[in-house]
Amino acid sequence: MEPGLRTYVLKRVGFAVLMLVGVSIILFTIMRLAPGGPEAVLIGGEFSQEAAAQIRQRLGLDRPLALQYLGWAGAALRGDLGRSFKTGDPVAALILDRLGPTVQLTFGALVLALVVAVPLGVLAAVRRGTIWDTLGSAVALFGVSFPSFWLGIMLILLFSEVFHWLPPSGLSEYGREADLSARVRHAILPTLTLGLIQMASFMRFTRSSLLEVLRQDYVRTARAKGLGGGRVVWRHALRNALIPVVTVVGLSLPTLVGGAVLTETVFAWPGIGRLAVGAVFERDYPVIMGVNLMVATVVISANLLTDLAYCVIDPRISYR
Amino acid sequence: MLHATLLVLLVAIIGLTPTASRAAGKDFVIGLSGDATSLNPVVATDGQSYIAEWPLFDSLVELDQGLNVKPLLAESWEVSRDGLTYTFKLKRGVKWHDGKPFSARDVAFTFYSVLDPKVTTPHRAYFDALAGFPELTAKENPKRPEELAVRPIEVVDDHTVRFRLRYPSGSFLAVLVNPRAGIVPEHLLKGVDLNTAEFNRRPIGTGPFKLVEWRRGERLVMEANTQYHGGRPALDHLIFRIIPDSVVLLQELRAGGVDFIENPPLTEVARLKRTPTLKVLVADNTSYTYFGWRQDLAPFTDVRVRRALYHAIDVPSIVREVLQGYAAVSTGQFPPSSWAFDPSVKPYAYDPARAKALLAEAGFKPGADGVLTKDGKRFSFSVRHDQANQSVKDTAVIVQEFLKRVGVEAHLEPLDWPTFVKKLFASDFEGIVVGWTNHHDPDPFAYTIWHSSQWKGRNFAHYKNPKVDEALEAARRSGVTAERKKHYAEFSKVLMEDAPYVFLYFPQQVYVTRAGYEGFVPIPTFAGIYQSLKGVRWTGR
Repeated sequence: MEPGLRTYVLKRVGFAVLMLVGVSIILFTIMRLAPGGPEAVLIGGEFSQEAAAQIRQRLGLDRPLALQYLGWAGAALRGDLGRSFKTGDPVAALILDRLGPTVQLTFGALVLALVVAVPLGVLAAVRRGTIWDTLGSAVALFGVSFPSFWLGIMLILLFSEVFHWLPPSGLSEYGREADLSARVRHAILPTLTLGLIQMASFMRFTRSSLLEVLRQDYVRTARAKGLGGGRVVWRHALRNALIPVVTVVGLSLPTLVGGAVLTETVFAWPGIGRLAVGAVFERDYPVIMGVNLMVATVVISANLLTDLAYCVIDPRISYR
Repeated sequence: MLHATLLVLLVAIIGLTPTASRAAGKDFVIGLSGDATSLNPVVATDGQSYIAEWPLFDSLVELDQGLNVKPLLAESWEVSRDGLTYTFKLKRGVKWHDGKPFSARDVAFTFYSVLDPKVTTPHRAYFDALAGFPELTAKENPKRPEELAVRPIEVVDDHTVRFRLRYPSGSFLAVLVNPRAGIVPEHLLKGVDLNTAEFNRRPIGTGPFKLVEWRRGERLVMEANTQYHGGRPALDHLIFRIIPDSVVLLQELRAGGVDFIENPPLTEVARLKRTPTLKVLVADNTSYTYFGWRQDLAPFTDVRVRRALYHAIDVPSIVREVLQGYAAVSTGQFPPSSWAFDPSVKPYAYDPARAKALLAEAGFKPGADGVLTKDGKRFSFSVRHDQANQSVKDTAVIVQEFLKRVGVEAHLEPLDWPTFVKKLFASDFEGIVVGWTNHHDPDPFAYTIWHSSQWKGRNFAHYKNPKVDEALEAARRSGVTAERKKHYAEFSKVLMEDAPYVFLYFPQQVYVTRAGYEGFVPIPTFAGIYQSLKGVRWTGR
């Protein structure tokens, strides 16, 4: 590795670590600024002031905030994210446990969205101004307009209540975890809900990006050379048109995770989103910190890798 | 062509027909809106944990539908003449789910754990009557049981355990029931920190069902305990599925994914009752919802004002509109199902004219904007409530409207639960609409809500009346139900005269189950129906 590049990489990694520390401090502070506390939830219906004080003491919430943060950060550096206030489970184990269902749901939704949106976008661009274009735009408009919780419930009503085709909720059935068809049946509605919402923006992007590319000189040249319409679009134009779409797909990850929070709640899908929502409502500080730290790490790492990849791929970018 | 092939393939994989995979009548699926927190009856505090613990653990005694105490792990008991000693003979041959024998040592261990100040448990105060309670539970230098002259809990032999009290207590037997007093095994928990024990996630009880699997946020699975001392339950499995959305929960019930749900949206109940494959069960409850205020803040210090607020609100109409009739109008601390309930105590009738007259008597005059004023101050205050509880939210809106009609202005402040409760703890409120879970015995909640020594306990509203203190103390220190009943009648009468809250209603618990399951006993206490799961069976009709 060249010395210049090495310094740049080190600088960037150092910056990423600083950023994570900053994020964790801000998160910790904001979380504590929120009114209320976990004792209310932990006491349940049996509350008294004495019991509340006892719980705060046991959880260490009676110590100064800075000390609490240092205690948490020290443990986190050693790989210990603490234990959930509510259940006593290790936070890392809780997150790992929920990661699978969330990855399955978001990845499934992403694939579904792309598989449907790209051909639709191409159709709308190529047949611009026709009924296909209008139809595609209408579908896109509907997609972005639906809140996922509403769409989810409507799909449940339709496919479970009216047609009796699919189960309304859950990840699998007890005793049938290994049954692939049962798992697929359970996954269809939540994946569709999350996917439909993403589909809209992907389709619009494909359409506009392709329209732009189709106006380029090289496309005209290809056509002039006598290439068929389909070949020009799929082989030459779409490839270039997809570059901004790929960027949008990357940027949509946080939106997908956000959508997954609601979708997971509606479909009783035991993923990270529901874990996070529950933790926020119950002021389960260690779980909130753990989940957010994980998300922050993923986002910061992805940014770091992109930046590094740019300077490796594109010779015009210098690393000083 | 490709699309058609793909579609055919997909349909083949999924087999687009719902499959009833569960053995009908053998696996009973219960839908819950939230997950349990801890499956250890000593430390658990929330409703979902209480529900899930019920099939796993047994208490010494349990309740019947009339709220009478009957034997469970205890075969029989004797109470000494002075009411200070309770000796329990325990059932023989009872085994823990891990096969180890259950004995009197487990009972002593359980209650000493409840008394241990290092253990975070809300149930400690219920055992106030035990000998040595103040010494054992002291914040500074608590004593160990062996340091006491009189041991509160004595293991007489493997099958006999004796409790000694410091005053005769009529509530002592009543607090020994599930889900707050399930017995835990000494052999697994001795020397372990009960607050964080792994046991709380993988519990071992003596109950009719054993825990098989707990997938957090997804489901709890229990299987029948074939060695159960009360006979093997009819169901093979109990599966608790966690489904947070109430609409989806209802869909699951209709689609056959669950067999039992609690608290459906009340507006749906009429439709559910008409569904032939479903059955609606209703149980009375001990919990009540009230509209309260800080007793020590003006103008609530004036009894005429408090009574006026009571007269201003048409409680039966709230029961009709918000609860769709699934509630009883409350006349105080005790539900109609309680032996302490006094039918001669009547609430203040809805009478806005009387309310206005009382307020005028208290010195209030209508202001320019229609809101009453006194000494230049408008009668305007905030009413805080939980924003997530639909019936509480609706009730608060209606209360606000009724108050407006007599010239009183209430600002509603919906808060999320942790925030709301924290403000409640700090007595940081003017008005509130909230509920108390309550207990089937009158003492545990009546004393801690209304006794003037409890301003740091549950007496958040800062209520104080020497007559009430006296009645509550006398009732607490009596072992004779007839005497207690007399004291509680006095308490209820004085309380209604003082009008410290507008006692609104006791909501009923509504359950829906698949037709064909029989054996539910709707015990009129919080989640009491879950006690009867051991007797539930499938008849197919």
